[in-house]
Amino acid sequence: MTTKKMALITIVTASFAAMIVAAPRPAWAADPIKIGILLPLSGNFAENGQQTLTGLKMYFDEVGNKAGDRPLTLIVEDTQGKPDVAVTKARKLVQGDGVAVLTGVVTSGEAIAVNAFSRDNKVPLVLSGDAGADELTMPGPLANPYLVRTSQNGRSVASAAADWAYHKGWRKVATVGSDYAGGVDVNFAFAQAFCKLGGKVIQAEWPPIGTADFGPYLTNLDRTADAVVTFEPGADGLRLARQYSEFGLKGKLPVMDIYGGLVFESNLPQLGDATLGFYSSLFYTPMLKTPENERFVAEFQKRMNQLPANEGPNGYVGAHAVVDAIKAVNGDLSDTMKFIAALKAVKFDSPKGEISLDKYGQVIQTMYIREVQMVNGQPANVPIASYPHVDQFWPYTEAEFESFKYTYKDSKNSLTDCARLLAKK
Amino acid sequence: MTARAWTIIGCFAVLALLFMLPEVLRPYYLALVTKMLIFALFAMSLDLLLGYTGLASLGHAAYFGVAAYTIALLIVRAGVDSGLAFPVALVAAAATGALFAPLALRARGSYFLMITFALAQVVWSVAFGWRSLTNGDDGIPDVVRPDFGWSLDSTTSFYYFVLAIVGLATLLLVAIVGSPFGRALRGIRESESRMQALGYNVWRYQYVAFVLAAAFAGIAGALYAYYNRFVGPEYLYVVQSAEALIMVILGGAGTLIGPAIGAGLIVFLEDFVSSMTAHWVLVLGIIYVLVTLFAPRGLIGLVDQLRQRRVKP
Repeated sequence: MTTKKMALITIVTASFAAMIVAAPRPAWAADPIKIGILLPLSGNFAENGQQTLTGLKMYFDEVGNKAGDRPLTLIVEDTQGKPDVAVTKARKLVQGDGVAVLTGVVTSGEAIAVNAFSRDNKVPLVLSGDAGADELTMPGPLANPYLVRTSQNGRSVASAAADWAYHKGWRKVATVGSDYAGGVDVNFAFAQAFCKLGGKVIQAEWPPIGTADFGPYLTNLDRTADAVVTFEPGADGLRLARQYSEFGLKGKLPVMDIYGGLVFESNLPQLGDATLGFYSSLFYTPMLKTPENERFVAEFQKRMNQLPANEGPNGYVGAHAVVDAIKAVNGDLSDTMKFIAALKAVKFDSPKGEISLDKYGQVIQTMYIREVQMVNGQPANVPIASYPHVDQFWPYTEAEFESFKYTYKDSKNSLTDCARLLAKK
Repeated sequence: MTARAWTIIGCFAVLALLFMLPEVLRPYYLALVTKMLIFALFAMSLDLLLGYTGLASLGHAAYFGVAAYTIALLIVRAGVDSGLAFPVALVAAAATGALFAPLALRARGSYFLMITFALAQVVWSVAFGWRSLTNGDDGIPDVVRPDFGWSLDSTTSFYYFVLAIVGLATLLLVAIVGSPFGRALRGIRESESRMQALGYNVWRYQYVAFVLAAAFAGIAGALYAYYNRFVGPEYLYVVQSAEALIMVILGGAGTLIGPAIGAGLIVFLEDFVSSMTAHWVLVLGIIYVLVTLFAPRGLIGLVDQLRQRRVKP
C-alpha cells in the first residue's frame, strides 16, 4: 500500500469519524422550526384571513421570529375559504414542507376538515382564526388530541350576551340570526342560557347569508319584545345596522349584537351615529385600557391602517401560545404529546385579557359587553361589563352541559320553546 | 408511421409515466396528481354534454356532490362498508341525472344553463340546510377509504386506485364517444333538426348522454370524497360547476384529452401556484383570456392549429 493510498484512506476514515462524532450534537438547535399558516387570502373570507395573518405576524416579529434560541420560519398558504383546498394545503405544508405546527383557519368547515387531517397525521393544530364551531374542542366525534384553539368559540360569546341581557332586565327578546351552521349554534347557545335564567325568546328570524334587504325581517319584528338580539357577521351586519336606524327602530328597541357583526370596527366609521347605544358581546374591544392592548392597537393600526376587531388579536394570541409552548419544551418538538401538553399549559396576559386553556385545549378568556359611544367624536365599542375566565361550558358545568337532551343541530325551529331547550336526557 | 400508431404509442408512454410517478414524486405532489386525475374525469364527464352533445350545463357539480354525499352519509351515518358505498354513489348520481334531465332538456342554450344551475342549487341548499343529516356548511368528516384486502390509506396505494378507476372510466368514455351513439351525439350538436329529420329520437339521445355524464361525474365525486376523507356543500356549489366548465373550455371542448389537460392546469393553478402568489386567480384570468382570444378551441385546439400551419406551406 502506497503512502498516498494510506493517506487517502485516513482522510476518508477521519471524515466519516468526524461526521459520526458530529452527529449527536443537537442537530435541531440551529434548524428553524417551520410553522404552517392556513388562511383564506382570496375569496369571501380574505379580509378575515388578512387580519388574522397580521396578528400572527405581529407577534412573531415581536419575538424576532425566534422561540428561545430556535429560529421560526413561517409558511403561509391561501385556503380560499374552501375546506377541500385547506386540506390540500395542509397536506402540502406537512408532507411537502415539513412544518411542525399548523395554525390559522377561518371557517368552521375548513377547521373541521383540517382537524380530521391533523388527527390522522398526528400534527399539532392551533386554531387561531375565527373557526368557532363549539364541537371541535368538546368530547365527541370531532375530538382530536392534537388540537388546541386559542381564538374563540360560538357559545361563550352568546352566553355572556344572555347573562348580561337578563340582568339588564330584559325578559322577552326577538332574535335575528344568520342562517348557517354557526349562526344556529350561536343563537341556540343564547336562547338556552337566556331560558335558564328565566328569560324567553319570543320570536326567531333567520335571514339567509347575503340578505340584501332586511326590510321584511325588520317590519316583522315583534314590537312587544324588550330587545332585539342579532348575530349577523360580514357584509350582512353592515346592511342590518344601516337599515335598523332607517326603519326608525334605533332607540325604540335596544340591540344586543352577539359577536359585534353590526358594530364591527370597520363598519363604525361608515355608520356615523346609526349604531349609537347598540350593545354587543365579544372577547375583545380595541378600547381596552391595558398596556398589552394599547401597544397592540398602536402597532396594528400602523400595519393595517384600521382598528383591530377580533381576528387581529386572535392571530396574535395564537402566535404567542405557539412560541411559549416551543420555549417550554426547549425547542424539542419530537414528542408531539409533550408539545400539546405545553400548549395547553400556556398562560399569559394578552390584548384580549388573560389567556389560559382547558384540558380539551379550548381557550379560557374574558368576555366583554360593549356599548357604542362617541369617543373623541368617533363611535367606538366601549367596554361596560366583563366576564373573566369564561370556559367553553359556562354558564354550565361540563356535566350539566352534557345532560341537555337537545343540541343546536335539531333546534333551529325551537328557539322560542324554553321547555325543549332545557329538557334533560 | 400513421397518426393512429403515434396516438397509441403516446397513450402507452403517458400510462407508463403515470405508473412510474410514485417512484419519483414526493407524497404531496403525488396527492396533487391524484386530485388532477379525479378532476380530469369530472371535466371529461361534463364534456360529454358540452363538447359532444352541445349542452352547456352549469349544474354539473350536483352529480359530483350527490355521489360524494352518498359516500359520506353511507359510511359515516349508516356505517356501510366503504367499498360497497361506491356503486351506490354511482347509482345515486345517475339517478339524480335521470331525474333532472327531463326538466333541463325542455330548454336549450342559456335557458338550459339556467335550469341546470337552478337544479344544482336546490341540491346545494338541501346539503346546506338539512343540518341534522349533513351537518350543513360544517360538512361531514371522517370518510374512510375502501379496503380491498390492501389498505388505500397510503398516498401511493390510493393513487393507483384512482389511476385504475379513472383509466377504466376514460376507456369507457373513449368507447362511448367513438360508438355510433357518440357519432349521433355529435350530429345532434351540429344540427338537432337534421338529426330529427334523419329519424333519430334526439330527446332520447340527449337524455342518455345527460345520465351518462351524471354517472361519470358521480365516479369523480365519489373518488374525491375518498381523497379528502371529507365532504362539504362546496362540492355542490355553483363555483364547482363553473370551474368544471372552465376546465372543459380551457382544454378544448369536444375532445376528451382537452378537458383532462384543462383540469390538470386548473388544479395546478389552484393548489400549486396559489402557494407562490395570492394572485393566482389573476394568472388564471389572463390564461383564460389568452386562450379565448388565440385558441378558441382550447389548448388542445391550439396544438391542431399549430400543426395545420406547419403542414400548409
